Amino acid sequence: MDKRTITVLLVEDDEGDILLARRMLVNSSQSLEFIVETVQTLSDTVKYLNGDKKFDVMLLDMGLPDSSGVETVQKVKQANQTIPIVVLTGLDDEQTGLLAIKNGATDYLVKNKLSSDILVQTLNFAFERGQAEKTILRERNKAQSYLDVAGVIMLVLNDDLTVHRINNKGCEILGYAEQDILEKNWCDNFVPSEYREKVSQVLKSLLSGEIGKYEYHENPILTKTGRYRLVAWHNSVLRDEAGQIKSILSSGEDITERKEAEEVIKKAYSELESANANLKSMQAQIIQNEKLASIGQLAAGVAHEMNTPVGFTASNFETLAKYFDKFKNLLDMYGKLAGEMPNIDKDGIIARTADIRKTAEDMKMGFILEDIDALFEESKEGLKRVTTIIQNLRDFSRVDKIDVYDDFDIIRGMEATLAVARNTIKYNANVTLEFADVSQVSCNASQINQVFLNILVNAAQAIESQQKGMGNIKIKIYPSEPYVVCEIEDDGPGIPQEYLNRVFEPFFTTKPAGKGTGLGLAVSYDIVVNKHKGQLFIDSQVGRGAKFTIKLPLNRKNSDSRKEMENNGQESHIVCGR
Amino acid sequence: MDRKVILFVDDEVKVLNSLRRGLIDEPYETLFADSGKKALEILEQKEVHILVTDMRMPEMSGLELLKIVREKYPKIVRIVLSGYTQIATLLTAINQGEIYKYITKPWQMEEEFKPAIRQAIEFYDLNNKQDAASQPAAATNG
Repeated sequence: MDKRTITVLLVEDDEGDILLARRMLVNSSQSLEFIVETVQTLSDTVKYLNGDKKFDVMLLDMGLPDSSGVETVQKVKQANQTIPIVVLTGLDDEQTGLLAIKNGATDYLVKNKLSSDILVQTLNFAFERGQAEKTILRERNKAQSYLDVAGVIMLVLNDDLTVHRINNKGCEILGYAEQDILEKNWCDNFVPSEYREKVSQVLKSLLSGEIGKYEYHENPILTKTGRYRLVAWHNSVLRDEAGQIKSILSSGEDITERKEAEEVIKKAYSELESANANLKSMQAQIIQNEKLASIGQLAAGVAHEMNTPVGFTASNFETLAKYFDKFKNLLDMYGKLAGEMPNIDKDGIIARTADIRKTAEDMKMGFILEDIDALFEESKEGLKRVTTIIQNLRDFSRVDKIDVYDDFDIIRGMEATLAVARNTIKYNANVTLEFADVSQVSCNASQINQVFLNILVNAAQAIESQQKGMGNIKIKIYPSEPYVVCEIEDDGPGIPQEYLNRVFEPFFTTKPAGKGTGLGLAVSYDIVVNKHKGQLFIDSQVGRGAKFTIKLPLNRKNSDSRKEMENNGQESHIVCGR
Repeated sequence: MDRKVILFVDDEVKVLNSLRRGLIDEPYETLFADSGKKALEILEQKEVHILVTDMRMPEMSGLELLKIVREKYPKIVRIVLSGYTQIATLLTAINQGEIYKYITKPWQMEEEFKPAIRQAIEFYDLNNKQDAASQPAAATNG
C-alpha cells in the first residue's frame, strides 16, 4: 500500500524544537510519510508560500523573530488563504490557541504536551481538512464561474439583507467591484430610496417563507452612477440543514431596454389606435356629410316641389281677400239701397241698381263668380300637394327612427323616395314600376331610402348628361329567397369598364366639381353590404345604360352575404376596400 | 299710352290661374302659356311687352325661352318667376337670360309681384323713350 506523503512547512526559530518535531515525524507512521522543510522567520515563510513549492500543511510557532502572537497567523493567512495551519503555543496557553483558530488556524498544539502520535494525527487531520477545503473552494469557484457566465444578475442575500454573493453581471450592472458590494445591505445601498420599503418587504416576506407570492417581482436598482436600471427578479430561498431559510437567491434580468422598447411599442400602438379612431370618426363624418349633401340636394328639389303649390295657393289666398272686399262692397251697396227703398221712386231704384251693376262689372264680378269655385278647388289641390310632399318626406327620412332596424315595406320606401326625387327625375326620365308582392324586410328604412335616392338621382343625372331628352328608368322589386331584390335600370350613357371597379370607392366621381361628393355609392355600399348584410352590384355597358341591383336579406341577422358573393362570379359587383 | 301686354309662362296651369285672378284689376292685358312653345306662338301673333317665365319646364326650359326671346324680341323685358334659389340657377338666368328681375316662388302678390311688373313696365317705357329720342320719326305718347 502506498504511503501518503504530506509536505510540512515548519515555521520555528528554536533549533531544539525543530529537531524535536522532525524526530517525531520521521518514521512515525506506517501509512504516512512527512517531508519537512523549515523556515525561521515570517518573511521567509511568506517567500516560501509565494514560491514554487507547494505545502500541504504548516506547523507554525507564533513567536518568531519578526512577528509574534495572533498577528503571525493573520499575516500568514494574508499570504496564503488555503494552507491549513497548525499553531504551536507555549505552555497551557489555550487562549492563544483558540484566538489563532478564530483567525484562521486549523488547529493548535501545546508544545510541551506534544507527542509523536498527537502531532502526526493533528497534521494528518489538518491535511485532510486542507484537501477538503481545496475541493470546496474549487467547487465554489466553479459555481462562481457558472454564476459569472450567466447573462443575468445572480444575487445571494443573507437573512439580514446583506449581500452574500453577487456575480460579475451584477457587479457590471451596478458598476461596483465585488468587494464594494459584498456584506453591504442590499436595500440601503442598491435600491433607490423610494423603492426601499417595498423591496425590503418583499425580501422579508421571502425570508418568512411566503415564496409563491414573490417568486417574481420587478424593481429598479441603483447603480454607482446614480442611474436606475429596471430588473425583473426571480427569487428562491436557500435553507440550512435544519430547513431554516437562511438566504435568498435571486436572479435578475436587466429589462430596462426591453421595458423601454415595450413602452415605445405601447406608445406606437396607442398612437395607431388613436389614428385609427380618428379615421373612423372622419369616416363617420364623411358619411354624415354625404347624408347632408344628399339631404341638401333633396331639400332643394323638395323646396321647388313645394314652392309651386305654396306659390299659387298663397297667391289665391291673397286674391280671395280682395274678392271678399268686393263682395262686401257690393253687399254694402245693396244694403243701403234696401234701407232707402221706401223713400226712393221707381226711376231712382232703377238708376241705383244700374249703378250697382256698373260697379260689379268694374269689379269683374262676372269673372270672379265664374272663377271662385276653381280658386277654392285649385287652392285645396295645392295644399293637398304640400301635405303629400311632407308626408312623403317623413316616410322617406323616417326621422323618428334613425339607427333602428324595423320591418319595412321597401315598396313604400321606393314610392316615398320617388315622390321626393320626383322633381329631379321628372324632367329627365319616365319612370316605370314593376312591383311584385314582397315581404317586409328588417332594415333601417331611412338608410335604405337614402340608397334608393342615390341611385335614382345618379340615373337621372346620367340620362341628363347625354342631353338627348327624356330617358327611361325602370324599377323592379321582387322576392328571391332569401332576399328581396330591387333593380334600378336606366338607359343613360352607361359606365365605362375602367370606372366600373371604382364607382364604390369613396370620393370617386365623374361629375363636375360641386355636383357630387363622390360618396353616394360608397355610402350606399356601406349601408347595403356592411350594415344590412345585403349585396349591391352593377351591370353596365357603355351606351346601354346601367343596372343597379340591391339585394336585401329577409332576415338580416342570419345572412352572410359575402360568402355567397364569392360564388357569384358572373355578376360585376365591386367590393370596395374597407 | 297703350295697354301693356304681359305674357306669363309656366308648365303649372294652376300657377297661371292664380296669376290671372290676382291681376284682374291691373291696368294691363295678361296672356298665359303653359309651355315655351306656346309662348313663342303667342309672341308670333301679338306684341308683348313683358315676359314672366318659370325656369324649369319640360321640353323647352325657361332659359332656352329667355335666350330665344332675347334674340328675337329684344325689347321685351324679361322676368323669372321660379322656385329655384340656388346661386347657380340664378347666375345662369341673369347672365345668359339677361333678365330684369328674378322673383322666387312662393311670391307675394301685392307687396312684391305687382310692384315688380309695374317697375318692369316703367323700365320698358324708359328704354323705348330713349329709342324714340334717337329715332325722331317714331311716334311718342309720353
